[in-house]
Amino acid sequence: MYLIFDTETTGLPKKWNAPITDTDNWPRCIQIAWQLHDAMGNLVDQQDYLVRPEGFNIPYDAEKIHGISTALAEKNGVPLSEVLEKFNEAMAKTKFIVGQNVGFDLNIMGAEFHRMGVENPLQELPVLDTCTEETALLCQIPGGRGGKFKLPTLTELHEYLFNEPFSEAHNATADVEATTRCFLELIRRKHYPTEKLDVQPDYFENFSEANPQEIRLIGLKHINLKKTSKKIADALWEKDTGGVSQEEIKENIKTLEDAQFVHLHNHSQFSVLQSTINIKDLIRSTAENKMPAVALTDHANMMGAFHFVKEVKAHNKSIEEKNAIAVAHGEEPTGQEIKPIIGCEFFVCENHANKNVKDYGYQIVLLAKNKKGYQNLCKMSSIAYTDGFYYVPRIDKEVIKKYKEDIIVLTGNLYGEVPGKILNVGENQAEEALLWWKQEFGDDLYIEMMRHGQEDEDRVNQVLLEFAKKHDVKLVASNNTYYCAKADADAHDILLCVKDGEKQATPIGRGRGYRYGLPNQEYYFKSADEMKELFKDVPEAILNVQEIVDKIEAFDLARDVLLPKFDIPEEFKVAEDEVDAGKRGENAYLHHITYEGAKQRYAEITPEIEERIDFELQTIENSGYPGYFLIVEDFIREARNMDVSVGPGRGSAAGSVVAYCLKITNIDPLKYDLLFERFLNPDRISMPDIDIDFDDEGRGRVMDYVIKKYGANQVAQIITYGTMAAKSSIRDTARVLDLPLGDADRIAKLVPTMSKLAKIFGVEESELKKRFRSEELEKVNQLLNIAEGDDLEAQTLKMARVLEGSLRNTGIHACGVIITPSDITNFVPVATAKDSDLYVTQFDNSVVESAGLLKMDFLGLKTLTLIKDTVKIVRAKHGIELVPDDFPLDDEKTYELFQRGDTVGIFQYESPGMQKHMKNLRPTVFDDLIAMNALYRPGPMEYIPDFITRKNGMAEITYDLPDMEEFLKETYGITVYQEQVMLLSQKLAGFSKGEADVLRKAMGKKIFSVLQKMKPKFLEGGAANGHPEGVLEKIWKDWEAFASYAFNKSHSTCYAYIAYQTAYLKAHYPAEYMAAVLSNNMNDIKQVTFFMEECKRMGLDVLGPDVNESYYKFAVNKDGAVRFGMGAVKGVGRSAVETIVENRKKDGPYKSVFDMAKRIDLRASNKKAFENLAVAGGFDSFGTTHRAQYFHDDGDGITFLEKVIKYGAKFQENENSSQVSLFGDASEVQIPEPTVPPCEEWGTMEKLRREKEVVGIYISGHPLDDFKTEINAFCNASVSCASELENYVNRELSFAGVITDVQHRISKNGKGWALFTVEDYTDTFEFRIFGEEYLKYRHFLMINSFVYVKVFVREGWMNRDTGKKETLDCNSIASCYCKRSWKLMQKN
Amino acid sequence: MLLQEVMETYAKKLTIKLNIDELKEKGISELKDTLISHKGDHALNFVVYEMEEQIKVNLLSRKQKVQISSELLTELTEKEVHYKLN
Repeated sequence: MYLIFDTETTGLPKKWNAPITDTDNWPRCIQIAWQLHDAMGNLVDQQDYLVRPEGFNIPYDAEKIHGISTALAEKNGVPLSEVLEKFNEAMAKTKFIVGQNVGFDLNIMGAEFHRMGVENPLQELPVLDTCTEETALLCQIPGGRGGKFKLPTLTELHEYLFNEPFSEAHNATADVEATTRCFLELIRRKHYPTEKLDVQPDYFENFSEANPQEIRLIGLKHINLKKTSKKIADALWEKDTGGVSQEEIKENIKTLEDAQFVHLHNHSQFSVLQSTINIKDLIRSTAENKMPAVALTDHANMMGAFHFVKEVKAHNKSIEEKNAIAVAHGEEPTGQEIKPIIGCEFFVCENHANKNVKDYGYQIVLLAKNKKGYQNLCKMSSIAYTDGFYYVPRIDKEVIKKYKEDIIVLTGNLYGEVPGKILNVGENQAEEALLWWKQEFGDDLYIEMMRHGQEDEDRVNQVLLEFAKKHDVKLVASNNTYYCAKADADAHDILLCVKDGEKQATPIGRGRGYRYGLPNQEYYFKSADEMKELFKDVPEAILNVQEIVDKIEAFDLARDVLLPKFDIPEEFKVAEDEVDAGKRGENAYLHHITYEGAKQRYAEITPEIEERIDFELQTIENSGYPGYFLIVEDFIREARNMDVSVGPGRGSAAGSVVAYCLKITNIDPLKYDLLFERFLNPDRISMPDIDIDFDDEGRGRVMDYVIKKYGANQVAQIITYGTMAAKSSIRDTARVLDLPLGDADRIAKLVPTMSKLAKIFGVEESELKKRFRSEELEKVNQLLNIAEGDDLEAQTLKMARVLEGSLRNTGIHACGVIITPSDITNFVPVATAKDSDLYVTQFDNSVVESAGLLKMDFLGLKTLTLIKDTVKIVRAKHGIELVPDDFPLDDEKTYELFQRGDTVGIFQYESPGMQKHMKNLRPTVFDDLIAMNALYRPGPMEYIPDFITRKNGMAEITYDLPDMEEFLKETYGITVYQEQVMLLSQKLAGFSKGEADVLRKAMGKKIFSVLQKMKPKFLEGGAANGHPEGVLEKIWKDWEAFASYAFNKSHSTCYAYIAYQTAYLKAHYPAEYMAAVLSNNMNDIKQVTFFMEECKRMGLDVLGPDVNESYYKFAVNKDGAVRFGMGAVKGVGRSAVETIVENRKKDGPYKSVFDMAKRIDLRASNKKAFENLAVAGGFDSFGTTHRAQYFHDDGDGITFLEKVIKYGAKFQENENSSQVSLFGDASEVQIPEPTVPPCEEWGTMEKLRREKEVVGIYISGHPLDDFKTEINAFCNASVSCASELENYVNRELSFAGVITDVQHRISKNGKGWALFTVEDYTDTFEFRIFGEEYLKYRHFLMINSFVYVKVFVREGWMNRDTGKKETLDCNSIASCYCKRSWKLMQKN
Repeated sequence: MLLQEVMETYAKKLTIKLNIDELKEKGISELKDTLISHKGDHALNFVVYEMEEQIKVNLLSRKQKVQISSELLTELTEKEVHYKLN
């Protein structure tokens, strides 16, 4: 007997592997059907029942599947006990339980039996499933797990067996009938082994005899449950409707007339790839709709919070101004200020720490009532990311309980707990959930009602309405907004596809072959009227919004920076500080260490120095940030102790004598007239900001120190938001829309680099002309043309425009570190990042400081590493300990280097333009270098010629007033620095230090309102000092024009100082310096080539790698030649180099390649490393063997090098096993060395080519080097031109190169022709030569011959393959040549 | 044609450009030495120019001839003498 059965349920279980005793987990059975067949497949019995739901209801999502509504089940169902009894009877008769995917039904029924406490044999009976690996093998539907076939659904199995689909899945009776048919057919086809069926071997034969034909349906009549349910529902509906009458609605509309609506459920781009709204748009939409407030509720993160509040504040300010103007004009103020509401939509799961179960939880919207509430949101968001992240950032109810203060809860969308449970689990469970939230939040819980026009929502809303009435919870209307305008729905849909890597053409839905998407286009920022219209039958939902808004008080997130407490020595502590949080102790300590430092820095502390220090300390005290200096001083001191190079300073901080005394900076401000007030304005309290450069290798160690000192929970890195750029948004959109890759690429390439689509579209043509260069403009116009069409490309561009700028991913800011006074989550929401153990702030670099966080920039400066490396090499080679900070600033040789313009590789001075200026300027003092560094940038660049002529005495140096000479002398009368403006304003017009700084800022940023205010003061002050007004007027005008170009002298001095150090090293230790430069650019082949050129120009030898001399980095050998670093050879890892160098140091240089193979660690240095070293010439110093031999095999397929490695490995193995020879003494095991096979040497070109392959450049020299002069003198083109011949039609080109490949061929009609490849410094090109020309020139076509080619480019025949029309004509060379010279002569 | 033969075949005339402001006795005699040490039978021209008023004078050397070679040109480049071929 076989019992085939199937059930329909209230849904799916939460956990599939829960035991049947876990009755909460398993859904309820609402329909069961079975058929009992005897062994020969004859129907014995069949029954089916609807089960009457007792104490639960059927959720809508389940009803959608099987069509059984609660009403239907209640009307037609029988009590569960009765059903179980009947089922038990059927089971008593059977031998097997059969079903499709029957495990689920077994569990459902098992749980039901368990609930009722009825004994049953269900779990003991043997099971035959029709959905197994075996049936999967039969159906062969691809796409299963692990590359297997997919398990077939009932329909699929049916279709396979009977070649007809079976349509009415999900009605238990029909399913059972179909399952039975399939099952019996499977037996008939002998797909079950006899053992499994526990039958005699002749069973199948008997069965086939009994059923000679394909099994047929038994022909039951099925009730269409959906239709039946609908009938009942319709009947009920009629009874229910008429609840809200026309009159009531009219009245409602009237009450709503004055009500204001506010959107409380909005997503911004910070809900990564889920919303197209950016913060500005959100606020603009709010303002346009004249709403008094707006909320931001991103998915689990608070990244947008600060920007949001800031933007709202800016908006309010402009509105305030506008209103004030309106009032002043006697008009009604029209602007509406906006109240920002910060919220967050959390994923609330069972247990956020459980990372074994994939539980996304329910989405709940929390809103902050005030700042305290905001902080709680931050805490929760931080927990979600740091502890609860499992696919999504999650929290749980325990977390909410802990941080529920000052928080308002909305029940959320359909994925919220209450609506979600109504839809999927059952009303009772939903009610329970609601009661939990009510118990926790009381009046601060609101039931959120949404109407996006979806049936499921309407169903839920009915229940929600009931709940609201029953439990006295207020309703609130909301719209889940993901985009601003309805028109953006499509773009938003594309964004979702980008997120999931889907195509838009894929239908929306669940499961395989479907994708996620919003069900309709209603998720936009609706106007208040639209919302009122939607909720006209429940006016309180709209009215309650105001109540929420009133509960919320607006607050600001900007605050002063909080410093971590710095531990000062006991004797400086002041008891009062504890009481009023004062800084007396810190100030005293700072005073102390400053003067301690001053004693070391200055031979004598003159009254001027003392005055300056005291003034600075006073300003620092006033600013309230003495701790900042202590913190910085601390880690810089520590960095130096750890042998990390610290830059001499950076930015305006170099103007502080205190910083100089504390050794934070290394430039004496008094010596260079650097101003403290440029750094900290004494009249305005502001936060000091000291940026520090470290060598880029040591930077990490300093960061580690800071983390250790302040504790990992007080230190965080800063997030960076990765946004979709123009090109990537085009490419992404194209992929989603299925635009071919090539087209997408073509369009993307039309966008000028570093430009944005927003800058191209919607802009006047004249504006475009201004913005772009002519060739860019052409591309831009093409883009505009494409966008105007109505094909897929136009569509792509249109959508890409909307998506551009969307947040795509997050990263870490490379050098910023946040330090907070206590646990960081008290101050800012944090997250974690992939490649960092530290927390990462959710606020980005642009706002962290405004949010009150202390930010330290640890910048890595490669040049510092470079200096350090050079010092190291010099120490190793000459035994001289160089101290860069002690280099004399009047070193003749260094200035000569600058005068020659030999500044390649010199920090900040290496550009060709700078070289030219250096040659003309011929700097002789350090001040010249500072000035040039300040002048060489866009803007002030035009003053350089004037500066040069004045310096060299070719132009007169004049001053508007003799008083100005004091400060302008060093720059030959030209105002170069902001400091000069500041000093002059003080001297000429008696400005205070603070005013001077304000003036500087206003000039630099062209703030004309401030300048207008200051001008009379300047003229007055100047006149008081007896200066003629006309001259003052002129000075002011000059300043206005030029001062925005003036540069920060503090910074310029610091960087000129670093540059001077590098130049000093280059002048005195050229080889060592260049080795360091090369090492530091080792990863960039182009740079290496460039610097190698410079080495050659300087007359330095650069030698290829050599295992007996090279290190990982570039080095200098005893003859003063630069030795190539083995680390720069491709395929040679650091470990390989380490073992080579180590063993060389230990036991002296390697005598041969065998010697080396014997000694080094062969695990660290693999075959590839050996090969590439050989190719690069690393073994050349072994003398007798040439490179080709290493790769020669003696016909046995094993190269010599492989033999060597094997030999080495064997040798080491034997040595380790310490075999003792039979004759005692000789522990040296004798293995014969492989013989070096004789073979032909590689040609120069071959050698160089291979060499280039592994090191990226020709080290031993470029083959064309010998012909440089010829090439310069006689070539007007290069090989690269050959690939763009269309530009050279009817022109004659001459170029030189090496022939690297030749193939002589014979054409069909017996004429010879050839393919040959020409290579020059940069390019290679394959040419073809035919006919007469071939015969004429073929003797030149030899590999490695250097040729000089003159060609005349003529439009030729149409090439069928490429459509190109050019051909090279070597014939007409001579005549053309003459013509060209003739033309030149005419010109002369 | 082979690159090695280019210089011989195509080099016809060497024109040396001199800025009048930079004409110094020492420089000239050095230049003379260089040219003498590369005697040959290629034509030698001078162009002397003046930047301010943009005047230039072409001067043909009738007696002095040079052998244009890679070495000569390199030497000239090192001395920062501007030259033109043909």
